[in-house]
Amino acid sequence: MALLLFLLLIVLFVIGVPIAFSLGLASAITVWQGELMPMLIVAQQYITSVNSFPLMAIPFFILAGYLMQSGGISRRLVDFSNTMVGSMTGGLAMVAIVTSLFFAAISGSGAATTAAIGAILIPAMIAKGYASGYAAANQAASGALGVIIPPSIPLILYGIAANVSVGDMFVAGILPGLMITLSLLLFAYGYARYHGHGGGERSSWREMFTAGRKALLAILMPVIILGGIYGGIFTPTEAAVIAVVYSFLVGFVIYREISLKDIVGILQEAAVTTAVVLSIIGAAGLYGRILQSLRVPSMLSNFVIGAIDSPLLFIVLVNVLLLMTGMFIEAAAAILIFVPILLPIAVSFGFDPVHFGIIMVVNLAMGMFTPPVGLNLFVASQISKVGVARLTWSILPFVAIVLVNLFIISVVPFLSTWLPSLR
Amino acid sequence: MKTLLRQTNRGIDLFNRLIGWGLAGLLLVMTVLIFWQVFARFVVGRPLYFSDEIARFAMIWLTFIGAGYAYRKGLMISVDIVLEFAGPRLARVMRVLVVLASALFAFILVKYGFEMVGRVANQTAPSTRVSMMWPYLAVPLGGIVILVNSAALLIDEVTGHEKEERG
Repeated sequence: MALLLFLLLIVLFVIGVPIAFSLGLASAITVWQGELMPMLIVAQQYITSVNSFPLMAIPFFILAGYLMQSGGISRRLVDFSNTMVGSMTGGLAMVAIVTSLFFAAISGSGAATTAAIGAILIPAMIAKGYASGYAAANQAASGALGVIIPPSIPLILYGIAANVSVGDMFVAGILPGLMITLSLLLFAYGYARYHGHGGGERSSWREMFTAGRKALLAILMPVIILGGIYGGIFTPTEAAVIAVVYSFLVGFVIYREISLKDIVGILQEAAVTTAVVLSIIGAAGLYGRILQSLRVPSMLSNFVIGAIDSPLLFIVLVNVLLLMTGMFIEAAAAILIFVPILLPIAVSFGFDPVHFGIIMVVNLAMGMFTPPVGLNLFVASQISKVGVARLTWSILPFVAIVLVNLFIISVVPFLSTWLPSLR
Repeated sequence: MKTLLRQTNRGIDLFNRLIGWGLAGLLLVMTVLIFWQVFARFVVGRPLYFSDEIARFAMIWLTFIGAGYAYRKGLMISVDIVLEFAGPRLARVMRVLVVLASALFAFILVKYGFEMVGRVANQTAPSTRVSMMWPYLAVPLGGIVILVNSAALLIDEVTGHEKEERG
């Protein structure tokens, strides 16, 4: 039965059936064939997986992202980081990295970041003489990795799936996120050095100050959101709705770049993106439930614990497994399916659930910019007009960078567990 | 024959436009309710008892109705690498298979969704006391949206009408 469940999924994926429908149909057919449970479970489990208050942070962060994009917040962030790092060697690439990091830290979504920041910076980089493939790859990678810095949709999902506090996951992401950002900046510097991309003109303190003042409202936002969550004032979901109202007020009342007419379109876009993500989450919940009823997780864990005796070997194997899955499956689905399977094994090898979550999310974030299925890659390819096949070559160095980071994050639990332990 | 099919699809487009409005409305309702909840707790000092539940039910509706809508617009995420390398004829066969598989799944949602609705009709939600029929109704109705849009995609294949613009 487990084999049927697995093979059906692969076949449906290969034909090109949407991931959400593939997960649901493979589960339904397996239930029906194996007479595992009454078929009603299909409808029931679907609802149960989506009927969750913490999950509601996702639509709100998505909506906030769209509002910031149309409200002029993303452009002001670009201007501000340009005055800060724009004059360095490889400055424009660094602006893309820093802004993406910051934007992802507010919107929680990698694809939204790539779309919002990439729309401004990919053309700007190409105009400055950067290779278009590099510009697109840099953006796709920074947008994806930005989700390790909180708030982030994958971190929320892991928190829900692993029954770990979402707040802890958020704090845990900070140091690994900074480390990855630093290595991306170093690569940008080295690349620009080698290819002779100088920086822009140095900005005066005055210009920096002006740009900073204009971007102040945008910079304040993560402070309010994260401060509120860490301070225990609101739940992540409530913080997300505050992000929505805040970015609406900033875009509509203060910057006046959103008109009431735009609102319907923005709501609609955010609603559809939400449905795309949540329908995968609902179906993944169902698929995971069937896997559990077939006792796949416990069988697998008995096997793994019997066959492997070193935590290091285990985590390397987990990373390889997630890497391969992440190339094909959405991060959201992968988290919901794999957490119940892998987490108990990880815990028995002595891994902290928070640490393990960061490893998983960093790993799956890489899947967002690697072919064949990488949302950020698609977005960056659309903006830069570089085909996905050609982009693949430009992506390779970024994959190497993340792999090194991933290894460090895997073997140094301190990076992930130190900050949450201070709370 | 083709004109009839095209007209059917125009009707379905209208249907989808209404759904698009509905989706925007649902997200708006969720936002207003949860913001109200925060406001009531911090400013008024009296927490709301109903906002969380209704917002969650709205999210369920958004998910199920929205999936069918996104499917029509080609926005559902899928692994389309094989489709990209397939020749035009194979690609066409695959596209039809995708529609059939999706429709089969939608049929399951409709059939067992309605059965589930009947099962929970006399249960009530913990805080608002509305019938649990309401959240569950989203499953079969979402299935119907997928079925209708599967028909539209098949008609597209027959009439050769280009897919509707994305977004």
